[in-house]
Amino acid sequence: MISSSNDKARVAGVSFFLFCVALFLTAYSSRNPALANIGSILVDESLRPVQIATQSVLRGISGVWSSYIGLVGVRLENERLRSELARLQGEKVRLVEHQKENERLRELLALRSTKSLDGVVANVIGYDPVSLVQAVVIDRGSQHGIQQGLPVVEGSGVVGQVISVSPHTAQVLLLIDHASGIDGLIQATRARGIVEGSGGGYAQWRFVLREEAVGIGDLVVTSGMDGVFPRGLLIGAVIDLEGRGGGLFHQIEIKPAVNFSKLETVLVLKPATAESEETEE
Amino acid sequence: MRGLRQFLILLAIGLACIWMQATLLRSVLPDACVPNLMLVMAVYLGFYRVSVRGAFEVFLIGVLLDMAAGSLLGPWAAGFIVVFAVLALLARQMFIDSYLAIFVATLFAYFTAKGVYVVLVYEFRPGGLVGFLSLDTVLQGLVTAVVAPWVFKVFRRVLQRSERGFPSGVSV
Repeated sequence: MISSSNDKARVAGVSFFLFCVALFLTAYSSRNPALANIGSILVDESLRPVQIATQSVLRGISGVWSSYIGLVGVRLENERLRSELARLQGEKVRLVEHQKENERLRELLALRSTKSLDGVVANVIGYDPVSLVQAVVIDRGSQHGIQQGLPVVEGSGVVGQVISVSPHTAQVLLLIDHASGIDGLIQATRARGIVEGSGGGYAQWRFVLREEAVGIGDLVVTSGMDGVFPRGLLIGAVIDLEGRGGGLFHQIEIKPAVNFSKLETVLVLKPATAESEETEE
Repeated sequence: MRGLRQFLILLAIGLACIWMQATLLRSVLPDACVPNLMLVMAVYLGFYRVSVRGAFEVFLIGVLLDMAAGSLLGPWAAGFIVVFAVLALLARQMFIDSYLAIFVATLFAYFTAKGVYVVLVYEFRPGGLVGFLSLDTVLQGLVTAVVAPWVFKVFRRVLQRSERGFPSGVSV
């Protein structure tokens, strides 16, 4: 506390004096930087150990903190990648489906071009609910030009025949159904008969005379004589033959070319195709 | 002997302030948010140690800050002396234990000392001129003024302990 005006004046005077000293020091050190450097070195050297220790402690804390933040970031990234993985797996499944559909459509396209067939591509959307008949439901109906009786094929061969039609769907009787009957012949020997379903995924080839030469593995194709299927479509292959009995005809079992348990996309042949086929014939 | 002890304590506090300003706080805070603790010390001495010795002590910590800055010896010392002189003359007219008074006085001191510093640096080393009224300067002045009351408490405790039993005309 300043006790008197004399003290006040003394403090003011000393302050003024020190201000002048500071000015002098500033001017002097501006012309002699070494002086400022010496001062700097003194302070730096006296603080150096403490500064080093401080920095190492702060770096340690900073390292722990950044590691923690890094872990949080890793967790978040992990969650993001997991959801991304789930999304990509779904995408992959979808792409595989597209690829398989593409393959089926390519087969149908190849069938159409090689056999000069024209028709409506349809997807199988259901099966007969009570399994009384071997039939499937497709997603094309009368509005797409589907009519009752039209033949249905797949890339590997004959599927069956349309038996009922609604505006947007149709029911296809498979060739393995008991009610199905297709005129066929052995591709190599041209022996003729009627292919009927026998249930259980197989078909029987009936009314083939005993004198006809038939062997296991012979390919059976449509004859085109039934007025439904164009000629030359693959039905299946002979897998069993019982011709040694006393009957007039062979007992022949055929394995259809089409795998009906994996049926997904089919081609319903248009009437014009059948007509043109008959015309060609 | 006691004078030497006082001097060493002041030197230690000054170095501690420099360490905090230049190392500890600078590592965890943006530059503009690091308070000028040396200036707060000068303000404290201007309030509570209004004497010839106080003037020398303020001059000393100013020089210490100049030494730490490593550029010119004197600008901060000159600025601190101006601050000390003004505050010493005003100290009796103010209720200096008030937080507001400390805040205002520190803010004033910051800009005064910085102004003197900038003028001197500009005069003697034009290339080293730093902006006076930049946003950083204003922010640092405010931060310094805000923390000053709490820093005062620390100084008071440390310096009172060192003053104990020391006959002086200055009331602390």
